[in-house]
Amino acid sequence: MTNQDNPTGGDAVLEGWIAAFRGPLVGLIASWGADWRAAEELAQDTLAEAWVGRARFQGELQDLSAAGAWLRGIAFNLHRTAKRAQDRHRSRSIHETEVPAVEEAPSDERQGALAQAFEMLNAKHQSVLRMHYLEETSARQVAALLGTSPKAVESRLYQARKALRVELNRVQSMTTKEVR
Amino acid sequence: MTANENNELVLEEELLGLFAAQRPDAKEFEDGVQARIKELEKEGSANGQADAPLFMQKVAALIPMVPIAETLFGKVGGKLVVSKGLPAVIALPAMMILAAIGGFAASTRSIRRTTQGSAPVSASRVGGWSTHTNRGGDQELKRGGNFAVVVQGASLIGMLAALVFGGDVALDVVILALLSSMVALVISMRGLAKLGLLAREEVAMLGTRVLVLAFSGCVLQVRMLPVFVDRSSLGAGATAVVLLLGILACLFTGNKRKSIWLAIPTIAFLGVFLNVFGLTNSSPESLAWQLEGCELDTNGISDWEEAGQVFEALRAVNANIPSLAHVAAELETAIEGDPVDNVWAWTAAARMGLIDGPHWARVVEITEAGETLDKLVRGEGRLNPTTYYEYIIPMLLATRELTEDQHKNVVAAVQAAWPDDIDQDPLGNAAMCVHLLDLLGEPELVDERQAEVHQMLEHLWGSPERCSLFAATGGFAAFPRTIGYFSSKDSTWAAIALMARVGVPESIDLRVLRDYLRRESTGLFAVASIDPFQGLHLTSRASLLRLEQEIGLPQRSWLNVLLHERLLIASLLVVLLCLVAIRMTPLAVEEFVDPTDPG
Repeated sequence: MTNQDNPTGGDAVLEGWIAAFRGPLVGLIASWGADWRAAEELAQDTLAEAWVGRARFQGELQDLSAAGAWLRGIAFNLHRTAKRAQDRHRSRSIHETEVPAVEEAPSDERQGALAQAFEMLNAKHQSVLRMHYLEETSARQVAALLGTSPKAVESRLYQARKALRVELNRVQSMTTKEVR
Repeated sequence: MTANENNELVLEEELLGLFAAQRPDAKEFEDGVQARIKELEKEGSANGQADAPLFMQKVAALIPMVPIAETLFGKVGGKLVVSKGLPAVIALPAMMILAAIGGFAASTRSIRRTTQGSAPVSASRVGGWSTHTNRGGDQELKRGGNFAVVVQGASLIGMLAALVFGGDVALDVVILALLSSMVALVISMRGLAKLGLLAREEVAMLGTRVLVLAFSGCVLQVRMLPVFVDRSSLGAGATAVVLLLGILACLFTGNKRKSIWLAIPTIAFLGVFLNVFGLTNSSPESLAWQLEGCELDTNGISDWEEAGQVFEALRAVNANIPSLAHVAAELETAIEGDPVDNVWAWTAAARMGLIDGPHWARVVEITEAGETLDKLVRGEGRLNPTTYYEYIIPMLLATRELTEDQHKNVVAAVQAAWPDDIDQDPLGNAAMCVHLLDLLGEPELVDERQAEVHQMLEHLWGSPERCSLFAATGGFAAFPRTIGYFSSKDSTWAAIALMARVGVPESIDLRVLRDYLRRESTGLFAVASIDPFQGLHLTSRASLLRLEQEIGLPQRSWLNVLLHERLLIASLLVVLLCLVAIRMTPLAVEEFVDPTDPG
């Protein structure tokens, strides 16, 4: 029996996928360079493509770790296609193709400094922070998308927050010097 | 969280705030997904391709089915194609087999017509072919020669195809080139007939040349280059056997006895010294012979590692283990005679069970590992995750009686050594941890990690889709790469040990893995005893033995057998066509006398 015929693969499974992967998937696609709005749309496309083509999925639909790896593959292909199309249409504004900034309008000075510090992090750290803190998704679901273990994600999150703190201190000290 | 951590890390609340503006609305997001699903389902039902696998859709996109159907069956055929969506998906391998059979049938018919319509040739004219060709007097002979160039260029075309489409398609390109040798034969025969030279001896030479070209242009490339994906059971070596036997048969039927005496030593040379038949020497007997005869050095590194791997493979398939007296003697020297701290030797010896309790106690002294062991049992130390430090745990178990708490501490240390990041050559570390947990009597802890191990294996496997740019398809990599994928023999060995223990993930095609191991195991010489570089292939040979005899390959349907063996089928048909062509052509006559001539 294929996954298409699977009676257990109903809407509940799709809802489960959306709940588990909405945040980290958007965060992951944003890490590849899509702006947040495009990342959200691509994440929707990814889930829809995966659902329509679920007959091709060889694992159990309910197995989130297997589904995560599959979704990441689809997302990557869709992003690549979208990026190529975007590159062909040069009429689009430069702001649409730039790697997105985390914040749009920093609410206060501290948030502004944090956003600035975030931009200084390496791609790996930025990626895991986006994926986890966009919706405070569990490390297990982030791990499923990254194809790694939850423990590795927790460790990466810890390192990323530590690095962010260092950058934040640097940004704040520079700001203080400028004010003086 | 402690106050200290708070000072070191950015607060979670702040990070949540940082992304608050970008957070998607759950309801809107779900509605968006549902709307897209509806759109996709609508598109799918409109073009009828939603369920076709991606690769098949690509193939279908490349094949101009409507023109083909119209050519074959007229406009009705074309309409049928469009209306029924009949050929929306056609597998390239199946098309290759059909093309081979169709090509054979058409070529045979054409050859029959050519031979029936030609006049007998005088024996005195036999041998004039090359003279005529050089004069450039016959267009068809020239054309036949051009097809031969296509056969020779198969390697280049195949490599380019592998670059663009992956190893699966590359093999079909080579088959296509092989099939063009049929065309070369037919066209060249027509040329001979027009020149009045169509005699069995000439056709035999023609067939021989075609097969030599097919062999050098196709088989050698498939066997030697790592880009091709060959799921065949017999391997490209069987195709080489077929073509070389075909050459001998052509010479024999063409009455070229002298050439046979030249061909036999040439084929023997190719077989033995260039190993064109692809002998891997991975049988238990061959590996046992290798282990028994290996010369180990107390200061050596890789030879110990490989000896351990060969031993492990032989034990895994319940083969006879040869005498290891010489290995034990070398260890005795390293421990008692002239003590050497060789971690590779200790690890290999631990796997082979060659060190007893008192000798392990001596190794503890040599390696000054007493404190390390103390820390491990107290739960304070950590296990070095590098694979050659695996011996620490067997050494600990041989020299200490562990209490329940100490046992727990050691198990915890092994678990802590589990690779937590996919970027750090994880397969070797994971295989080591699995082995040690089993050794510590904790198999259920291994079973719990099954899904994690499967994910790791899938992530690091060099599938045909992932590999390009001449990468060795089918093996496992030490590090994940999207471009320039590199399979590693040590990671592949570890992957096989893991799959033997926790099962094979569904997405890993063991036939592609076997193809990789065959290529890696094939030595320069066919006979291991005369190959000075056989040692270089030991890890892959041991891996191949475990894959074939411990893990085993899945059963195939008859259709898959046909598809996987399509290179062999195509080569059989080419040889058969050459032989049929020779048999259909009459022998040259000594003196041709026209019976209707009254004079």
